Amino acid sequence: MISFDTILQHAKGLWPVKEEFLAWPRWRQTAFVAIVFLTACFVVHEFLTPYRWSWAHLGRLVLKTLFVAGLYFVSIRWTPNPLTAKKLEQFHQIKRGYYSFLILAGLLVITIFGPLLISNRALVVGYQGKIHFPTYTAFHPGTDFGLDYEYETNYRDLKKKFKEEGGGFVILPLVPYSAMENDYGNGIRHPAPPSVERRHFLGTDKTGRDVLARLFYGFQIAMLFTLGFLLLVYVIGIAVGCAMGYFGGAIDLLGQRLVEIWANIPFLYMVIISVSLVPAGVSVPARIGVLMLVMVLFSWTTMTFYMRTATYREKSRDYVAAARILGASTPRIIFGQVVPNTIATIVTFVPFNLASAIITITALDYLNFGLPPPTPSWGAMLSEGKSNMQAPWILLSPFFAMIGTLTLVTFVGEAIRDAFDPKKFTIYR
Amino acid sequence: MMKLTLKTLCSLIPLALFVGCGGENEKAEEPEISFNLEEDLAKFYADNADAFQFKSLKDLPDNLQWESGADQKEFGSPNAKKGGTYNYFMPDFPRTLRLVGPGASMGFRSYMLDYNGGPGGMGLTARHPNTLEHFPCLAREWAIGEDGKTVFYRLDPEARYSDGEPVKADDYFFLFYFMRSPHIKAPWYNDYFEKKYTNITKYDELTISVTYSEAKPDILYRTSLKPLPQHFYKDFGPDFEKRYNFEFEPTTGPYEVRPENMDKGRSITLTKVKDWWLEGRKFYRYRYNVDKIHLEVVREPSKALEIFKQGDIDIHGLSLPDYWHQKVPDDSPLVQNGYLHKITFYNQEPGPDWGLRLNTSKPPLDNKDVRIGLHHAMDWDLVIREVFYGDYVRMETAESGFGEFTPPDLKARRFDPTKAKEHFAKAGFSKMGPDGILTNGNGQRLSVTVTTGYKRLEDVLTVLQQAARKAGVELNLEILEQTAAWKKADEKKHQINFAALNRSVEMYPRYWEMYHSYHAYDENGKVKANTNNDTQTALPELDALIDQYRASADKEEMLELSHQISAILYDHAAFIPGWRRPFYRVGVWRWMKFPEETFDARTARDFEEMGVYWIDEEIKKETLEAMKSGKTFPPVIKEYTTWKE
Repeated sequence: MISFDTILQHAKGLWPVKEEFLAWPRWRQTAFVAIVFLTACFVVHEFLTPYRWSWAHLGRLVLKTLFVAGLYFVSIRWTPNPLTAKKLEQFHQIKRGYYSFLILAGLLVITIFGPLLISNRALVVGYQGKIHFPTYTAFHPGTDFGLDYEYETNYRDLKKKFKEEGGGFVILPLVPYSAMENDYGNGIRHPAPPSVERRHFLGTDKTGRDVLARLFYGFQIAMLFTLGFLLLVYVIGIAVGCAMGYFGGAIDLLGQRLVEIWANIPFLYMVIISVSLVPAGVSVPARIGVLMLVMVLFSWTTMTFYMRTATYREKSRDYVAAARILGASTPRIIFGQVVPNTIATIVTFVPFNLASAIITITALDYLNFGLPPPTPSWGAMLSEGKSNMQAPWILLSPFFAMIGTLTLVTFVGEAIRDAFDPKKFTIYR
Repeated sequence: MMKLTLKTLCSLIPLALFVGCGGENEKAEEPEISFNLEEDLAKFYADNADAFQFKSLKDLPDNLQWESGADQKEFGSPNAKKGGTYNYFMPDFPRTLRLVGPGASMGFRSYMLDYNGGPGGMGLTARHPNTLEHFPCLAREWAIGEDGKTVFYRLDPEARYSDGEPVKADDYFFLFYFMRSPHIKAPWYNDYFEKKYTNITKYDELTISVTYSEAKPDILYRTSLKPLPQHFYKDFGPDFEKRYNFEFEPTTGPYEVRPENMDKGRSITLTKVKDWWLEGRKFYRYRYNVDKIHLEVVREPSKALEIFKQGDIDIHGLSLPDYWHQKVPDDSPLVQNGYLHKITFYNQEPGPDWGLRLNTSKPPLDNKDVRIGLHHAMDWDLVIREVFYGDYVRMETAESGFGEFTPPDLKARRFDPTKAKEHFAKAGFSKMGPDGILTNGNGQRLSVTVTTGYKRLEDVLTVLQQAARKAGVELNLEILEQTAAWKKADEKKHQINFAALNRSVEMYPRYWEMYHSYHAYDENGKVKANTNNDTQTALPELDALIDQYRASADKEEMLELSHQISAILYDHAAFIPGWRRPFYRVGVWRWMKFPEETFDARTARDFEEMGVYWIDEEIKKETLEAMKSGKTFPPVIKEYTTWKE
C-alpha cells in the first residue's frame, strides 16, 4: 500500500537539498535551474491561456509534461555508467561541438518563447487603467481598445494611435509581425528590402510577410517536426533492431528480409504519393502529423541494421547471461541492459539523422509536398526566393539559416562521434 | 544487404519481362469485341434517318443568297516572313493527343485544334477576329436558309487533310456519329451534338447543309463544324480511349504532329503541313508563317522565364504584374539594350472568369447566407491593389466582357467584415472563438477549403486567407498539381474551386453548361461528375429561364433573359467574381515579329491564337551576334491601344 507519506518522500527526493545541489557539476546545476525556469514558464502560460477543452490542447499539455520530465530525468536523475560518463566528459572537452550544442539548445529554448520576440500581438497593452497581455490570450477584437472594428487588433496601428492621441500604451515585441500576416496598406511595394525603421529586419516576401518571422517560425516548426520524427524513428528502429538481434534465428532472418524489402520502397515518392492522398478537409496540424507519420513509416529501417548488430554483440556478453540467470524478463534485459549499453551507437547517429531530416522536410516543402501553405517553412521560402531572384533577401535568409543550422548540427555530430569513439577506451590485444 | 538487393533485382527483372509478355499475349487473346464500325454507322444513320439525309442538288432551295465574305479586310502583316522555328514551352506533356475524351482538354490541344487554322480551329467558316464576320475556311461559300436555323455550305474542293486525303461531305456525317458515340467518353459532346443539331444533309460530295436546333443570331458561328476524317478512325470502337491515345488526328489546319517529332515527356515539334491547301489564299497568306513550332516541356515557371531570358524561348507572357514590374523590369539590361521588347496589347474579349466557385452541395456552402457572407469576406480589392499592383480590374459579374450582356446595375459584393458577419450569424455562425474564427451552436468552426491547381496564384489565396480572418472565416488552402486539381473539381469533391474557365469570344454568355441542374445531378439525384457546373447550381426557376434563353433566337429577348438570369445568379451567390485583365502583355525577343500597326487582332486572347507572328531568322542572327559584341538597339516598350476600351 502506497501511503501519502511515501509519495511525499519521493516527491521530496525530486528536489535536491542544498548540499546535493552544490555537489553537482556545474552543467547539472545550470540544467536544473533551466528546467525549473521552463516549468514555471509553462505553468504561467497555462494560466494565461483561456481554458478551452480540445484534444490538441491536451496533447500539447502531455507533450510539455513529457518534455520537462524527460529533460529532468536525463540531466538530473540519470547517472550514466562510468564509461558513458567518461564519454560525456570527453564531449564536454570538444569545445566546438559543445558550444554548437549549447547554441542549438539555446535556439530551441528561444523558439518556445517565440511569440514574446516575434509576433503581431503586443506584449503589454495599457488601456483605460487596465493592463492586457495579448500574447498568449484569446484574441482581442479592435473594439476592446476603442477601435471601430471587430476583428483582431492591429497593435502596430494601435501604438501609433496611442502615440498621437494618447489614451494608453503599447509595448510591441522586437519584431512586431506574425509569420502569416501581410503587411499591407502603407504604400510599399512588396517584396521590400530589409528595413530597421519598419522593423522588417530581413525584408518582406512577395505578399508583404516578414521574412525574419517566417524564418523563425519555420525553424521552430522544422525543429519540432524533426525531433518528433527522430523520436518515432528511433523508438521503432531500436525496438525492431533489438528484437532481431536479440532473438536471432528465424525472426532475424525473416525480419531482415522484410526490412530490406521495405527499405527498397523509394522514400520520397512514397511520401509524395501518400501526402497527396490526404483529404483537403484535414486541418493543418493534422496534415503535418500525417506527413510526419508517413515519413516515419518509410525511414525507420536504417536504424534497425545498426541496432541489430549492436544487440548481437551485447547479447553475448556475460552481463546479459547473468541477468538471464537472475531471471530477468526479456523486455527488461533488452531495454534495461542491452539498450543502455548500445547508447554509443544510437547517440552517434542522432545529429546526422537530424541533419538529413531537416534537409528532407525542406526538400519536400520546396517541392510543394511538405507542410501545407501558408505554414512558414524554409523549403517554401527557398522556392519563393528562387522564383524571385530580384529580391535576394528572400532566398539568402533561409539559405544562410539552413547552412548555419546544418553546420551546428554537424559540429555536434562530429564531437559526439569523437567522444563516443570506442577506440579511445579499448585496447585490443 | 547490398547483395540481397541485387539478387532481388535480378529476380525481379525476368519477372517484369514475363509480366510484360503476359500483357501482350492477353491483348492478342482478347476475344474479338462484337463491334463493327460499318454496321454501327449504318445502324446509327438509319436510326436517326431524320437527322441524316441524302438529297441531290435539285433539292437545294433556289432562293439562297450565297456569300463568301471575301470583302473583309485581311489581318496579319504583308511583311511577314515565312519559315523559321518558333520556340515556346508547355508546362506539362499532354496525357493524350486525342481531341476528345478523358484527359483531352489540356493545354496542348490548343496547338492541334484552336490555334491550328481558323481563328478558333478549322471549321466550315472562320470568324474574323476584328469584325466577328465570317470568311471562307473549309467552305468556299455559304447561305443561310429561310428558317434561320439551317446553313448551306459548299465545301472547298481543294480542302485536304494533312495525310493528303480530301475532305468529303461524309466526314461531317461521321463527325456526328463520333461525337454522339458513348465510346469517346465525353458526355458534354455527346449531349451537345445530339441536342444542338437536328439535321445534316448531303446534296453532293461537296455540298451540305447543317441545321441547328434553334435559330440564333450567330448561326454561322454555331454551324461552323470541323470535319472528322473517317478514314483515320476506321478502327474506331469501344477501345477508342486507349487505341487513339497518342495518334494524331489528321488535320486540315497548317500544323501537324508527326510521331517522329514527339519526344515523350520532353518536347513536341509541330511542323507545317507540306503544301498546305490554304497556303497563299486571302486571310491565310500572312499567317501561320513559321515552319516549326517547337514546344519544350518546362514544368517550373521560373525556369521557363530564365530560359526565355536566355533566348531559347522566343516570347513569354508578362501579364502577371510581378513578371512585368519585377522579373523583367523596364530597366533590365535585356530591355534597355533593345534585345527584348515589352509589349502591352489591349484586346476586347471576355477573358477567363477568375473567381471562387462555391460547391453548393457541400456544407456549409449549401447555406446561402454562408455564401453571401463569404462574398463579403473576400478582399479582392486588396488582392488587386497589392498582388496585382493595381494593373487589373475587379470582375463585377460572371458576364463581364460580353458587352451589353453585362448586367449594368449588378456590382460584385465588396469586402465588408461587418456585413459578412451579419450573414454568417443568420446561418448560425455567431459565436466568436478565441482564435477569431466563428463557430455555430454545434461548435463547428466556419472553416472552408479552397482547392486550386494554380500554384502561381498562391499569393492571391494567402492574401484572401489573411483578410478573411477579419470576417471570422478560416480558409484552408489546398494547392495541387494542375491535373489533380481539375480532377477534383470534375468529380465535384471540392468545397471551393479557385480556377477560371476560358470563355470564347462570343456574342452572349453561356449559362447552360455552368448553371443548369442537368449538369449538377443525374436522374437519381446523384452528383454528376465531369461537367462544368462546379458550383452544383440546380434551381428550377433558373433551369426554366436557361432553357428559354437557349431556345431563343431573338437577341433582345436573350438580353432580357440574360439579365434575369444574372439577377438570380447574383442572388444565388455561388460564384465570387475575382478580377479581369483588359490586355495581354508579353516580353518578346526582337526577332519575333507581329503586325506593325495593330500587333494582334481585336479579340485575340493570346499571342499564339491568330498565328500572325513570324520569326525573322536574320534578325535573330544579328541579335545574337550583337549580344556577344555588346552592340545595342533602341529599347522598345510599347502599348498597342487600337482596341482599348
